[in-house]
Amino acid sequence: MKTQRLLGDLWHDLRYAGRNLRRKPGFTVLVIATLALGIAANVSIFTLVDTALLRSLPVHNPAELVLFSDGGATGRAIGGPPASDGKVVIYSYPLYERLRDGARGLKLAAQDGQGTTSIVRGAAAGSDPGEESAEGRCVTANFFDVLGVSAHRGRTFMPEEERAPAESPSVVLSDRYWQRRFGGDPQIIGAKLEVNATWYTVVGITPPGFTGATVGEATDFWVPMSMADAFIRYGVSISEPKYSWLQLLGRLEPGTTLASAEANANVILTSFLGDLPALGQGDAAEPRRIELLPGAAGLSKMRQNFREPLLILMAGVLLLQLIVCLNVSHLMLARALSRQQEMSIRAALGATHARVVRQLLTEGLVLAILGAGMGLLGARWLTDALASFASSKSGAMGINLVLDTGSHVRLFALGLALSTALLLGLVPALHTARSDLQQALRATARATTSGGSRHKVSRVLLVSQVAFSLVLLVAAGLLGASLGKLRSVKLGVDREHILVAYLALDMAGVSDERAEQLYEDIPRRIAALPGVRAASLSEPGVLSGRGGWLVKFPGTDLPEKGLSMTLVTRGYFDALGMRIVRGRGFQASDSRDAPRVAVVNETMAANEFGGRDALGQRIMLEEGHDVEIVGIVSDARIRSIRQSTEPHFFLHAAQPHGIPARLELDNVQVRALGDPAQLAEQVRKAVTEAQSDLALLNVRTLSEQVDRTLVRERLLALLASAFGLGALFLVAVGLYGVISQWATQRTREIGVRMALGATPRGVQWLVLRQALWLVLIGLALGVPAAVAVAQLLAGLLFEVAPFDPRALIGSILTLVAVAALAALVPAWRASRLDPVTALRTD
Amino acid sequence: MKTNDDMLIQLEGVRKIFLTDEMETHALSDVHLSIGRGEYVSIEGPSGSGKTTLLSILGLLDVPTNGQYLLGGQPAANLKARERAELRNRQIGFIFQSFNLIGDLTVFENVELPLTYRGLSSSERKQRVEAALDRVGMNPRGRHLPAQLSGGQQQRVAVARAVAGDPLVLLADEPTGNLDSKNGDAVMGLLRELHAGGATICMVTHNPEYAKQATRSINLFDGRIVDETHRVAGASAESSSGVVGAA
Repeated sequence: MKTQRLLGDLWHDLRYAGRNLRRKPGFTVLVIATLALGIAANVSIFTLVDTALLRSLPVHNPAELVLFSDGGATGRAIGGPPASDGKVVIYSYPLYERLRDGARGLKLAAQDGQGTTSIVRGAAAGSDPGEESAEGRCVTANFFDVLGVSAHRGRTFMPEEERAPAESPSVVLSDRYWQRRFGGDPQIIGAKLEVNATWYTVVGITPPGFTGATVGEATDFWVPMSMADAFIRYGVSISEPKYSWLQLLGRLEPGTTLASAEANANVILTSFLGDLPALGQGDAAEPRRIELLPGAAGLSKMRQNFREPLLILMAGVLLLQLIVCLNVSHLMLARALSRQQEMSIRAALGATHARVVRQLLTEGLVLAILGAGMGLLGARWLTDALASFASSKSGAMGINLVLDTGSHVRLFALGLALSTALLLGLVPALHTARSDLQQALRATARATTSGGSRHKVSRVLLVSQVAFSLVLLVAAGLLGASLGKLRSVKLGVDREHILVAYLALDMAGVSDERAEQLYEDIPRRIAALPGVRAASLSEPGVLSGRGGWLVKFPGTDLPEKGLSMTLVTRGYFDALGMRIVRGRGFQASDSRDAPRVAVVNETMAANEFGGRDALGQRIMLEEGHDVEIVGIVSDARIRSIRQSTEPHFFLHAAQPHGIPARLELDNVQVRALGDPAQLAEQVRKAVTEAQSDLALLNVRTLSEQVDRTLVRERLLALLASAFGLGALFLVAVGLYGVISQWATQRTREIGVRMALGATPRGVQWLVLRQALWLVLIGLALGVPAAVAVAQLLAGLLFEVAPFDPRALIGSILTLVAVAALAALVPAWRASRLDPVTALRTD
Repeated sequence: MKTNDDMLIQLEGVRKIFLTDEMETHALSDVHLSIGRGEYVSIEGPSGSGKTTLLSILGLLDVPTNGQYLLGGQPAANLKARERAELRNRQIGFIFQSFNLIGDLTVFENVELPLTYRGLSSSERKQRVEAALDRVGMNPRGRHLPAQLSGGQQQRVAVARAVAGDPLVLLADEPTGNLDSKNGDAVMGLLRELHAGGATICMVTHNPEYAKQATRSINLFDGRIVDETHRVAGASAESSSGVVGAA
């Protein structure tokens, strides 16, 4: 009976709330839109944070997974060239085998450290969807078993596929790729696919939601380790103990602890290093240690890069939600004030305080539910937009993130909606609890105009809003300025005229001999195009962030050192607009049999030769392969836009360079006389004319490439700006509400002032002054908070001081201008009041 | 006999029509009225007779629909809002039934307010405010807020505010309406003193006893002046002239 009555009351409250909200459509729409804005932004950013930082891999019992990292020297591979992948360091296949075979209570698997962008052609089954690039990874046969992923259709790899390449090797597709590329065609199992010029048989599909062990680098397909040599772009020798290219992950068996597995792995490592005296010297001399880390969340380079920005964005969006709540609370409070008499009548008719409060809470709940619903719809759109902004199929700095609104996100959205609902109802409910309900019923002529103390809460809410908004605006200003600095940084190359592209040599299965011919042929063909000034090939590409090698200085006592290197064709410096400062660049005479030569940049010439003239000095990457420095080229930020000029040397691709790896010159640089974007099609055609099955991918201008390398900064600046604008909008709405309410409440006072001689302009100023006072108090509180938050952003800023007066002053002026605009309408309205009517107002 | 030059206020054929929901309400119809300098005029009449509308037009808070209004010999009917505000500030002092003091301001600041709008210097404002508060006996309460005063005290402050700027005319709308008889008498005494000092006063009142304190009484009915009574100051003689239907 009691429950029935409660439900009846609730139904009555809901109906009344609905009717009330319908009667005030402007208020209702404003509150719902404001809530939707906050909830959409929060859910979207949380989805990003959840996917990148919080969520476990969608595998069986992810808590048992462990990652292998090297606690000795971060960024240095064991027995190989420097490699950086955060804490997870890459391993050679022989070391993996030793660890796998010797591990106790731990099952090990491996994948290649970098995914391979591949050209996938044809499918024997179903319709042929044509040619498309996709992200593939080479994995050990037990990869899926160790991860605890069973095939959704077909099977995963068999143990025998680990070492011996089959006549038609297997490929496992991700469900996402299967759906996207083949429309979920079940006939795909057993079909043939050509991947990078090798035919594979599709043997299985992974379960929906699984895109690999690396978060932020969604994998479309996997090939077995036996195909490493054919599949992996750089070419690997699977039996070479010095060549590190694998990431390891494992699964702890019941009863095995992380510590015991780690101790056992280190024993094996010591034994391995001891058995490989050839490694000796540099690498073996350094202390090495394997560190096992919990691996439930999978591997992720992106997590390292984006952890701080994402946490900052989450803090920012929560701040925005706080502003939203303050704003809506203020609107609700204003409404509660206008309904004080109604509440008094309810009380007079016998409603208990709890009953009145419940009515207000119900209205808050209805608004929050509607706002959350709209917000979730908005979040879907916003999340998609974020995913497409943050993701890219390829590119060293890009990320390929599959955003999924899983249970975490749903829980977050629900919690947000409920807490907001509580807050919405609570502020007016508390106000009602504190007010004298009987007082409101007394209709008394007022001898004085109101003192305004009733609206202190509104003002406190608004002042807080202004303070928080300033924090967001300053953050947006700093991040925007930092992005602007990065975008306008002098690269030392002819940024406006350069087109870059990726030449898919490996995907076409080009032999080494043919590749050498193409290194001559392709730049020549492109350079001959009208509108082209120069063209070249290189490895790595411009702004790839890669290309560090250990360099020795023969004949000197200088220690070996890790330096940046680019392998280039002859026209490279001209193609980038770099200037030869002294000596010469590479020439046609620098052929295979000619003396080996190198060019260094100004920084390397000045700093790396112990004060000696760099010209004529020799450097060496491998014993017996020393080269003479014949030229000094102007400094340029060709490796990374963020790093100031660093020592860099260039080797000529036509000469044996002694680099202990096969490097393909698959990066194209074209310098145009005019707009480089106009050349894209001609350059593509020139490449196809050189070899018909050769694809040119990722064709873009250098300016676009710069933007791609700034995805983190762009994401931060864009979202911080969006939050800042959202906060500004909310401040404007809040201020408009508070000032309108103030002016309405002061109608009679304004009438009195007019009667005493206040001019319309004087009345406008009176109202504007109220707004500006509130804003100034908010700013006074916000400035220290903004300065403190700016310090937290210091690590993310580029050539912008955390205390940048322009960002602070700009934000303050923006807020003041918006406040003035928001208060202008109520001010104008107040100045147009009819004094006679105003004086009659109670 | 007063000449036109002595007339402070002259209304010629003033009408005020309010339009509400396509219905015309004639609040004032063809009102002719002249008030000379130093006169003390009371306006009487039943509710809805147009007393407050007349006072609003006299006080430049409202504009007539038709007719001429000369204040101090200058046309005042069709001035811009800003010009009317300036005239109000310099030439008119208001005393309201409900005092209309500003709750956030102290007694001193309330009295100072019209002088602030006039742009007087701080020292001159202080001097005038103190003088005005002295006149109404409220100087010791200068720092109080209106809410800390009794109704009678609040109205005395309102009177001080009205006279602080030395206006040409004081317009009082039921100045005793919210006061008990004792405080009402005190405020009326104050107005009498001001009149004796040369002030021109125009007062709306329902109280016949207070109306008798004026030198002239005007009766309004349905927006028209239907009767005027002239009294000799300090004497009981009265002369009355009916003006019903005056064109």
